[in-house]
Amino acid sequence: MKTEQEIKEVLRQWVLTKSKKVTDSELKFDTHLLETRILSSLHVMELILEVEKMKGTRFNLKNIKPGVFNSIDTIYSSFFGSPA
Amino acid sequence: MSQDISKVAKILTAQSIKGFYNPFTHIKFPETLDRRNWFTSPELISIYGSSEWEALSEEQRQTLSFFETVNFFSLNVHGEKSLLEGLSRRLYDNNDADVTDYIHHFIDEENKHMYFFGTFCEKYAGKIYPDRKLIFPREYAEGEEEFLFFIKVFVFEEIVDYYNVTAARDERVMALSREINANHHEDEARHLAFGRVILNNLFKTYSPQWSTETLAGVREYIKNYYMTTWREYYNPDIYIDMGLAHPYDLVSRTFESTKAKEHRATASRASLNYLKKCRIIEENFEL
Ligand SMILES: [Fe+2]
Ligand SMILES: [Fe+2]
Repeated sequence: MKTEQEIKEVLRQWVLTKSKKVTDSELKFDTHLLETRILSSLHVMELILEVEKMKGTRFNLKNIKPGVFNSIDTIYSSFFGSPA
Repeated sequence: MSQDISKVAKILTAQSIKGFYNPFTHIKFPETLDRRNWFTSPELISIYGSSEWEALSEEQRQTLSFFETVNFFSLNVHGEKSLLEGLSRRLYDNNDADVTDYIHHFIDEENKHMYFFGTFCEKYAGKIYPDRKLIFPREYAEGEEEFLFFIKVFVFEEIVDYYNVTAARDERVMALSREINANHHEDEARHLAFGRVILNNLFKTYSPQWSTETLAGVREYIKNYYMTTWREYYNPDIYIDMGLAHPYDLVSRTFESTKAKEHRATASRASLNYLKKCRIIEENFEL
């Protein structure tokens, strides 16, 4: 089982490889990803696959609200934070 | 709207009326299907030619062709759903009566297609694979949102058509699937014609007023949209249903493979060439 920090770091690295709009030193766990266009909505589909893979389960996309992808912190708390 | 759009809309409306059909009797759906069939051309299957493909028996490959078809039909349902939303919003929203007339047919036909695709998936697979595409609201320059809506329609329909034409012509493919693909292609020929004219026109109208950043953003969006559209053709749910090992890794590995890149280049060539001809994109890009 990965710790919170480890999961967030995996997500952070994923964002860094996908987006050329942010540097390693700029990207924090609470950096806003959508407002700053670091991630486009089109990246999100790939991110969903990444999260599904990490969790090993599928989730219901109907329950996903835009706020979920605001930052690495919100992604973590939405998908990994509380027991499902 | 320009004169050529009105003219094209009028011609297409006449053709749609001529080709009008009742979707509920047009295609017969048997109670059950024998999965020992090709549901699409083997060459269209995502993992075609890979070592995973080589390891499958003929029977497993045919079963895979069933789930790949369920995925293809599912992505059509999702695409057509948002297409219908966008088209409905555009009804009576321009001062061109011919365009409005044609949008009525466009909507009518997409609704019929969804019925065919949806019925196939529900009846024979008991489900439609869920969508992973989310679009968040943002702000647009003048004409940008309109242009991007038709870009999405264009990319979606152009790629789908490549699959429709290939499967419809393939004698190995079972009759019902061929029929759905062929029927879709017939209607889509009109949508594609409309989409091409309207895209070119919107671009000519609005892009001269866009800033360099807006134009660069639009071009970036087009590339991303192609990529995202293509990603949907490599769905882990297919591999899960087939019981293949490490479905998510298989998705990334397959998507990145040379074979898949070549396939995407072939299937996207005509539409990219068109965008380039209209100067909407500067160069064809790798997908
Ligand atoms: Fe359609
Ligand atoms: Fe269409």
